Formats: sequence, C-alpha cells, structure tokens
Amino acid sequence: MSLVVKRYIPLAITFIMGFIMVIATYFLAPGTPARDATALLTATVDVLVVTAGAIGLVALLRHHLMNINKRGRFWQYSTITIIAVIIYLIIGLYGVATHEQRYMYASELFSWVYSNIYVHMDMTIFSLLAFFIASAAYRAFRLRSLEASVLLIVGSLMLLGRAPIGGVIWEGFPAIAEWLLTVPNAAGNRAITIGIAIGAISLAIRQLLGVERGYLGPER
Amino acid sequence: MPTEEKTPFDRRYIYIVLFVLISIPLLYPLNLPIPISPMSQDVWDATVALSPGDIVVHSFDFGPSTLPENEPQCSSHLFHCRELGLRVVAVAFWAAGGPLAHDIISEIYGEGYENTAAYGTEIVYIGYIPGAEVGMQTFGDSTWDAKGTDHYGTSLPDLALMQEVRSVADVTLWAEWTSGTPGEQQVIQFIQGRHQGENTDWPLVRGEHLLPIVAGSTAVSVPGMMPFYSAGQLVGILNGLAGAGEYEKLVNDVYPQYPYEQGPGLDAQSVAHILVILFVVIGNITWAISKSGGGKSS
Repeated sequence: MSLVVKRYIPLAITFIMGFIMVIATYFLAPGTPARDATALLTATVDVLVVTAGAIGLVALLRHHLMNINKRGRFWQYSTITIIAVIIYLIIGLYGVATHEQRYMYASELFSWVYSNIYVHMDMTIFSLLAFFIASAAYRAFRLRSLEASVLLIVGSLMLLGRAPIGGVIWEGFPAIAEWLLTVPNAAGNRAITIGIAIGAISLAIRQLLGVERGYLGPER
Repeated sequence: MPTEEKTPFDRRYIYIVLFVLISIPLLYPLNLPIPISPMSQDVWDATVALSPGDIVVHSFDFGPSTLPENEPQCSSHLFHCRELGLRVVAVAFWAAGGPLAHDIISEIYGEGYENTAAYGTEIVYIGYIPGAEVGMQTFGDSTWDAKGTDHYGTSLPDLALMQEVRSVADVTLWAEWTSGTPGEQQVIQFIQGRHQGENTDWPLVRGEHLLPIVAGSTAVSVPGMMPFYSAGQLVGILNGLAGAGEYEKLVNDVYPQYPYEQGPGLDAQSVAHILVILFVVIGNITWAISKSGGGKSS
C-alpha cells in the first residue's frame, strides 16, 4: 500500500474532521444551520460504533479459537466463552427474525438470559472485591514510612466516617470523612483533572497537526 | 505502593471470617442510625425545589456489576420524582444500562408501564443511545436527533412529553446514575458546558445559569467527582451504598410506602469496615513483631 493511502489520506481526514469540529464547537452558535450541519458528522459515530462492535466480535472469536487450537492457558474457559457468545447471538438473531424483538432487549428469552444469568454473574464477580480488600488490608498496609502512615490513617478515618458505625462510635467521624472528601481530596483531584485536560489538549493538537502519528500504527 | 506480604496462614480464613461476620447483620439487622450527609441532602433539596410538571432526565449509565449501589440510588430518586409530580425522560448511554433501566422504571411505575396512559405524558423511556460522549452531545443538542424512537419503538415526536423536550434547554434537572465513562464528567463537558445560560430557570453558578446535575455513583468513583461538586457543577451526590441508604431514608420518612431496605446492607458494610481496620491493625502488629524478632518481614 502506498504511503499516500497509508499515511497522507488518514492524516488529511483527521485534520479536516478535527478542525471542522473545533470550529463548530467554538465559533458556530448553537441552533445555526452551519452548526446543525456538523451534527451529521457526529451521527456517523453510530455507524463506526456498530462496525467496531462487529470487529470486536470477530477479534474475540479469533483470539479464543486460536487459544483452543493451541491448547493455550485456560483454553477450557475459551470454549465456554465461544459457546456463550454463539448461543446469545443466536438468541438475539432469533428474536429479530421472529419479530418478537421490536427493540433492543424485547425478546423474552434474550432478556431472561441477561437478567437472570449475566446480571448475577457480573454482580458476583464485582462483589468478590470485598474479600480481596480484606485480605489485602492484612497483607499490604504497613506503617513503613510517613507517606504510608498518612495513607493508612486517612483510609481508616474514611472507613469509619463513611459507614453508619462510625457515627455511633463518635459523631465526629462522618464530619472528618466529609472534610477529607471535600477539601484535600477535591484539591488533589482538581490538580489531576486539570493536568489530564492540559495533556489531552496537547495530544489533540499534535494529532490534528499530524505531529503525533502513533494511532496510525508503525511507520514502515 | 504498599508491598504485598504473605500471610502466616491460609488467606481463605480471612475470607471465611469476613463472610460469616457480614452475614450476621444481613440476617439480624443491627438497625444502626443513618446520618444524612450534606451531599445526599443536596440531592434531596435540589429535587424538592422543583415544581410539579418540571422535566427531569434520568440517565442510567451503569452495568450490572454496580447494580447493588446504583439501583437503590436511582430507584429512590425516581420514586421521589414520581411522587412530586415531576415528569421523567429516561435514557441510557451504556448498552448494559438499557435493560436495567427498563426493569427499574417498571418497579416504580408498574409492570407494563409503557402501555399505560402515563407513558408519553409523565414518563418516557428513550432507551440506549449509542456513541457514548457523542451520543450525549447529540441528545443535549437535539433529543429527536439522538434517537428516532423510544425503547419501545414509538417515534419520539409522537410522544406528548417529547414534544416539550427538544433539547436539554427544556430540562429542569439531570439525574446521572453512573459507575464509569460516559458518566457525570461527560454530562458536564458535553451537555452542561455546551448549553450554559440557555434556561434562566437553571440556578446561577458564578454568574451563569447552569443545568443542575445530581449524581449517584459507586463510592470508589465519588472522590473524582468532588472538584465538580465544590465548583457547583454537580449540585448533589449520592455516595455509594451509604448515599443510597441515606436517600432511601429521606424518602421513607416522607413517603412511608417506599420501603427502607438498605439498613441491613449498611450494617454489613459497617461490620466489614471495622473488620478491615482490625485486619490492618493485626497485620501491622504481626509485622512489627516479626521485624523486632530479627526475622524476615515477609
């Protein structure tokens, strides 16, 4: 593939589309025909999302099929993943084919699988974190240094202040937790947020101007 | 970063102790008093300040993993909105939130609510809008353009309530139930920021009328929201399970028919928090002993 197709055309598309959106956001008033025209561009994101979903499905199947083929690590789970994906896909397509599925989740069977299997499995996995946190509390939090000690004390105050038992032990705990959250935490998070925003603006400008080309893949 | 050390015993004993101790208050609630935090009170105050008929957007942007925290938050607030006579437009910018939202709305407005007279006038559920931040931006600019039909296939212009909601300028309050991205920061960036000053009924924040946003999130995400809360961009926050319990308690005090169900969960959370602190203390004592004994700390 020529350099023009691989490099220059994607860079031109990024530059043109990026600057149209910048101009629309900062220089065109809401409700004007010119601003409304740019809404067409944002609508194309839906098309890209659907395409990305299809690519994701293919990549997932490919990855797990290769793992099974090579008898790789935990290949048995790859088998379960593929079976689950195919069965759920068939259920969804069946719902569409029989017109039972008027909207995204209307098929009774599709909804049943989601509500009664997926939802509970997902909640269970997430709730297991509580056990790991308890174990980590015993193994990891040590008064090794001043910073670690501050982290430990503040963490303990938050644990006491953000549960009803803290207020029962001493009514000052909830107020301390609230202060920690709204003052030192807000200040730290604000600094992080502003730093991230400045970094994102810088990266966006570099991408629009074609200086940052990492998203196009290796230059070969 | 803390260094992980091996336990002198099988860590599964810790899991068993935690499991047993949090099971007790779930089976036999301790009924600990629930203090109402200022952040939860702010959500309540922002909601009761609205007038009957005002339009509230409920955005269900979470997945099943955080359902135990997000569901009681949005359910109690949705109930509160219904009781106050507020009209609700529900959306989901997370695909996983789409079916969850349908179930939660059905609990409050009744099973089959989409076939009642109230649907289209008091409540509309638009469903999942794809595109994440871009979907949010489009919805804020023009609700009809974000998605042609509601969750049930009805064209949005055919719904009386949606005739009044052409953009976010027609909305009085945004309730964001989230556990990630897109979430409250994207609503602030792509909706609140783009439409400031478009509705003079919105409260003044630093001289500009801003769309009021209340949010409910997992406790782990709330610290990241604090800069926006202190700046007035978020008017109130329900902080995790504790925030959900606090709002349920506020609703239950005024509307006793709404059950207060988070008590046992918060009791279990209290026990778990105390247990974690105890584990930290015991872990440090054993570490100090092993260190003073001249042995290797791990």
